[in-house]
Amino acid sequence: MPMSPVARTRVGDALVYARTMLVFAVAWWAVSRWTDNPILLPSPLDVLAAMGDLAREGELFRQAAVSFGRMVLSLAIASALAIPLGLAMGLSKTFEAIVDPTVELLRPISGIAWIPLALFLFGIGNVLPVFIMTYAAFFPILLGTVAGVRAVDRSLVNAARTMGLPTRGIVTRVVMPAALPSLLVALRLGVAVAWTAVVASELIGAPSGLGYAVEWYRELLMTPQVMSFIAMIGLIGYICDGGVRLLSRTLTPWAPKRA
Amino acid sequence: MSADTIKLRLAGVGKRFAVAGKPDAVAVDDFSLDIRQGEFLVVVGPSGCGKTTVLNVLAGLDTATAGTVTIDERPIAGPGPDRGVMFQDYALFPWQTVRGNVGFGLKYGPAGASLSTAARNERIAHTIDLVGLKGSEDKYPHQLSGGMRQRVALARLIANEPDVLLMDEPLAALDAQTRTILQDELLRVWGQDRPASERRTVVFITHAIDEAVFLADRIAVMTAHPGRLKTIVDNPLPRPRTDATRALPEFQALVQRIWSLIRDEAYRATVA
Repeated sequence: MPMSPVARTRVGDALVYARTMLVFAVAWWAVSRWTDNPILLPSPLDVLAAMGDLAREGELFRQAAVSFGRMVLSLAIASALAIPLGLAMGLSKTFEAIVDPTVELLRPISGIAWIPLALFLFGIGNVLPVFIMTYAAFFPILLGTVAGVRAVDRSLVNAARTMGLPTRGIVTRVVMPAALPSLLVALRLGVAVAWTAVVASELIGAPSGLGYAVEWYRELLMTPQVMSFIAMIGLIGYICDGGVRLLSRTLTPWAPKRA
Repeated sequence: MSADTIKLRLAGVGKRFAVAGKPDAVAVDDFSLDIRQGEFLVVVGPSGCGKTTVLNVLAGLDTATAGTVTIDERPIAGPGPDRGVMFQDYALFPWQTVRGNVGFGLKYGPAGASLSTAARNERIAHTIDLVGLKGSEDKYPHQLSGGMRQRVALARLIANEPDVLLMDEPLAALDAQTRTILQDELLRVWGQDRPASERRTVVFITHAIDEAVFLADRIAVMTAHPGRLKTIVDNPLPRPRTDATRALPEFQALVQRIWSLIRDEAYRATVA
């Protein structure tokens, strides 16, 4: 049976992907043979074995679930704060003029820079990583919302006005849906930065999670375990990105397709 | 209401734009026109003559810098559901399907407030059918051709049943056949088979003179730089107008006459 063009592309993509991974694994294995120091660089087979053990014991998934849960919570808090604020900033120049200087002052400070202070404030626990991730995700979501609201086509607002919609209706029926694609792009960025911040904040500030596990096994010089958790961080980051893209496609089937 | 009631009145309307370091640009200058209740008024003129500005002022989306604009003798202060607008760029909501776009004003605006959900859906379905979009109800604007989008915009305007229809080159993107069909439909929706007192009021902008002659009761001819009303031509062609109208010698004569009024300027605008 002949394959559809789409199916053929998918198979082709998978082959390219597999080939790339194979080249990477072989190169890794070769370098590990050459350095011959399993603490510095274990072979990919050792890492795979360690990953299998950690998966069987369940620790891999336990720690991943903790970190993932923290990220979801952080994104929820960041969205709940940044989306209404961004909407208000996008709609009102006056409000933006009041808020923007503070935002622009805080934005260049990376979430990680707050970790020492957050240790004083919150101590080690759940609050610190959630605070850091919320902080990190807040700015891209805020700026994406503002940009989305700002970019709403004037003629769509005018069309709604000529149909007699009140201001409230124009915000909920025109501005918000029109800004949604931009907001979803911002959310994707928010997920990426929040997930990047998870490791740094858990390395120091949490008694659990993937970042904590990386640090724990590093102290024990168990490099294959360290690398297993690092691989898990990459894998979950990849899956989350795919999840947000799927969300975009589901929520905005009308938007032009993006890469 | 008698047929001679003034629905819309433009008196000495002017629109200037500030241009940095230069004298103000004059888009429209001293434009006075009374549009009667139930009248089909078509505005023609070369591009850049301020046709769209006049329409936007009537819609309340733009404010005049001189003169007064009234509807039913009340000043126009902003847009309202009594004046439906069909925009040149269609202004369709990309997140709404054809059905959602056509029903937008009925659902979220005051136009459908007195209708039951069933009556609303009935009117939406009927209007979609009217413009020949049956079967495309669930498509999004980006999945439609330019001509189909224009029909959605037309359906959205008609579905709200506003008192006044303000239309900015509404049929420009259509192929000749669809255009002819929709001209007929437009006259039907407007109410050419009904007595003049039961008709809606239409202000229609076009650059196609034959379209103007087919549709209009009166044709306002504008000139550019600055945008001024040159003259108003009465259109005596009998109603209801049909395909036979297009073949009348009077029809051709009127097209020629209006063309002669704007020919010099159209050439200048094109060559310059």
